[in-house]
Amino acid sequence: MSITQILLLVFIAILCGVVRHPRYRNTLLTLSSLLFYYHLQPATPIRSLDFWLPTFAILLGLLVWIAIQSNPRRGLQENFSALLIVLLSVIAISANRYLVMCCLTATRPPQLGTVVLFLIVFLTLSTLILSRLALRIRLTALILILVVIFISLKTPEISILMSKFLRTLQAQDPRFSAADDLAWLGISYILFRLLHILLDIRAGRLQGANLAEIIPYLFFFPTLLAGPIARFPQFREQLNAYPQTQDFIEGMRRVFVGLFRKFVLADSFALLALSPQNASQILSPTYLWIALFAYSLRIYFDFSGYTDIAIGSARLMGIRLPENFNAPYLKTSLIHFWNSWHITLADWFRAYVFNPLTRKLRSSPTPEWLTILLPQLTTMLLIGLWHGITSNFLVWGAWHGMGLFINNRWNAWTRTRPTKIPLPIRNALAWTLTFGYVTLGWVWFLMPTFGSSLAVFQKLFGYGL
Amino acid sequence: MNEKVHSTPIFWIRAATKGLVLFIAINVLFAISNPEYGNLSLYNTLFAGRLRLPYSDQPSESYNVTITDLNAMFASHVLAASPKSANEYRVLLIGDSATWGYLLPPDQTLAAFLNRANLRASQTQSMTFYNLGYPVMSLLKDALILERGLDYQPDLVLWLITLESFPLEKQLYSPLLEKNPSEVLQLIDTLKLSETIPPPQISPPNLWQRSLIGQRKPLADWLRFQLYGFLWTATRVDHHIPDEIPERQADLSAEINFYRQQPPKLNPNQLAFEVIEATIRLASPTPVILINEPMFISSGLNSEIRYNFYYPRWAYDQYREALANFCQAHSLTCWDIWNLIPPNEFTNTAIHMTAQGTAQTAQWIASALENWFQSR
Repeated sequence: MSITQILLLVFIAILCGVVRHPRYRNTLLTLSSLLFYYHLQPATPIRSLDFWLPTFAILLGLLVWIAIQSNPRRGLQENFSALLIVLLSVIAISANRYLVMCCLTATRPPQLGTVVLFLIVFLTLSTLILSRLALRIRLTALILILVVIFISLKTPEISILMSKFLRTLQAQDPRFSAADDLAWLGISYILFRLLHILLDIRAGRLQGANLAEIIPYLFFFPTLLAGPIARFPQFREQLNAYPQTQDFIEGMRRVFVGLFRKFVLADSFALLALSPQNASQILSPTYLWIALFAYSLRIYFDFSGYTDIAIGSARLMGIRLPENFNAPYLKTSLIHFWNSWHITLADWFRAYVFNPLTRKLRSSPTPEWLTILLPQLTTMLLIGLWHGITSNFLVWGAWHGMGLFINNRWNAWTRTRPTKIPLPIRNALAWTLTFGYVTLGWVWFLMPTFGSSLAVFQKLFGYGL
Repeated sequence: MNEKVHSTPIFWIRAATKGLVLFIAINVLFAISNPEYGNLSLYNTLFAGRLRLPYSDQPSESYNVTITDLNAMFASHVLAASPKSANEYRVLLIGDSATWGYLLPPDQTLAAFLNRANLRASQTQSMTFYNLGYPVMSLLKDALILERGLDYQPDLVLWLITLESFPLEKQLYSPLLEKNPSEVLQLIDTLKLSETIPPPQISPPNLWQRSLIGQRKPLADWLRFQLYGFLWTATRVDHHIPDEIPERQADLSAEINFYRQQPPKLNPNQLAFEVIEATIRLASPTPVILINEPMFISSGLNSEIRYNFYYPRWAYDQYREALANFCQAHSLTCWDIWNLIPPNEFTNTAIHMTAQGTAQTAQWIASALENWFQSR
């Protein structure tokens, strides 16, 4: 996001905060979220895909909303006005093709007739199909569909196949297909929000939802790019929470902190940071270590900067988003690090993977060490794969999964053995070890292949020069 | 101050007002003092000095930025690393992108190959060559760079030239010159060239343009350039060389004009010989050797009309003749090596050479320099 886009975001957030009427505020929030989504979606080499990708995401949202209704047809009638706003927004953005309004989408949207026809067919068919299925089957089917979509998008080989298909559909040369042709803005976050709703409804933790609540939750414009992944019940409660002066002050402060972190700190560290390009060019281990630490700081300031901007902008509307970072690089253990790094994603996996798996293992005759190792390793592997289904993200997940397990066992071991080492020294050692371990782990995260990562490790320790 | 005070709107309004006043004051102060921040450099201290002047088409891949602040450009150069020692015979190379080493790594430029030849000016002095080439074809640009270079006490200047740098209308056409209008005006004045090259009409930057806000782009570029010093030091990469380099044009158009000049007679008055003459005068007593640089000679379509993309044959032949006459008239040392390098040693343009071609040129110049020293 450019500074201009962030300023626009802040301006719209203030505007949403100023509007006091619940209905108007909600409409404004929905409209601005959808418009922002289309606006931020980058252009792709496949014709009109920058329009279709956000449209598909919105349709997925509608699909999930229809699926969670006890009576989909009645649900459609009750939420007709919200549905109309969503559909008219999509149509209006498509009509931008004729109005030539500046900057709404990256490229010219497709024909209006095609869009309208597609929306009608999609909604009619999905309502007909879903209304014939039992609620639990609907939910399970949709969970599976979302997981398949997620896996397809995150697996480079499948993404290339999809790109080939879409290119052929658009009469474009499929030979030029690439995995990043399907650069779908914020889809990882949107899919996880959708899964959260479906899983909670299925487990009975959540009782229904209005379309007017779901759409702003899924596409809440400050969180489109980098989260955080708020929980739906908490978000819903705040939709009509209007900002006080203190919210405005705190919101602006967070936005400024975010701008500083992103555009001053992160962008400066980016000029020093290790990258797949410079990893093979750097001539000495010392410089490689410096570049790796610069990467470590860059990724933190970049991500946390965007999070600050998101949390600050939301606060301008009176909405308190959950924190995503809590000084992770100052932590003295990997366990504490993962309680302070990308907190909302870790919480998501804790709720839907770690806790159920731990409960399952505890209720079965499994050795204690395995009860600890398996959930930690599985959770971290999945968090790794959330970033992309590649061997390197898998190894990165395993790196942290094993690290967390060792950390856990070490804690258990030292608890019964008093030490004479003074606390400050212990803390300094623990911090060095934690930060060093996390930073070394970034090698798997940033390099494209297993081989190139190993080459970096060799070089870091003076081999292969 | 307690937390309650911090949360009052009055506190924040006051804080914002103070911040605004401070921001305006800093801007005004910056504009009034007009600091030459370009002289502040992390190069040659924290980071290694660069082997050539900063220039980049792709900053993120070359760890380099095109900046136009002459102070910052020279402060980053290895030339500024330390004062000249008694046993150093300092040679500056000025010229266009071929001298700079376009599509060549920094250790395979003409200056780098000449340094590898370990030439000696005398029994006590070894020759060190510094690359001050810059990828713009204009003799006035060369003069501007040399004027700065003279501060570093050169003993000899090798000036690589080609006809494309000569047309008068090209002299001011370069961002480096456009962004340094006062320096250019001063140079034109010093060289007494105002009749040959009409001085650009410029007005001095106003307070706003000199403020931090007005200077944000050059400041950001300067900061980016300083930070890229780390990756330059760590990688010794300062130029992105693509895996596949498009070949120079071998089949040529039938165009016979050279800029505004038409055959059969090339008018030397339309060429910037006066810039050369005045610059050599400026450099005096430092000797300047002019080298008519190698170029690609095509044998493709229309090669009977043109030598290459740049030059119709009639114009280039007459230019060489004019250059020889000019050198003779002013008793200058001039080496014409226009056809030294075989066509397959040129890369994407008619003057950019491969490392092999550059090494061959350096070998010829090294040998010519040895003869030149002997004949002095």
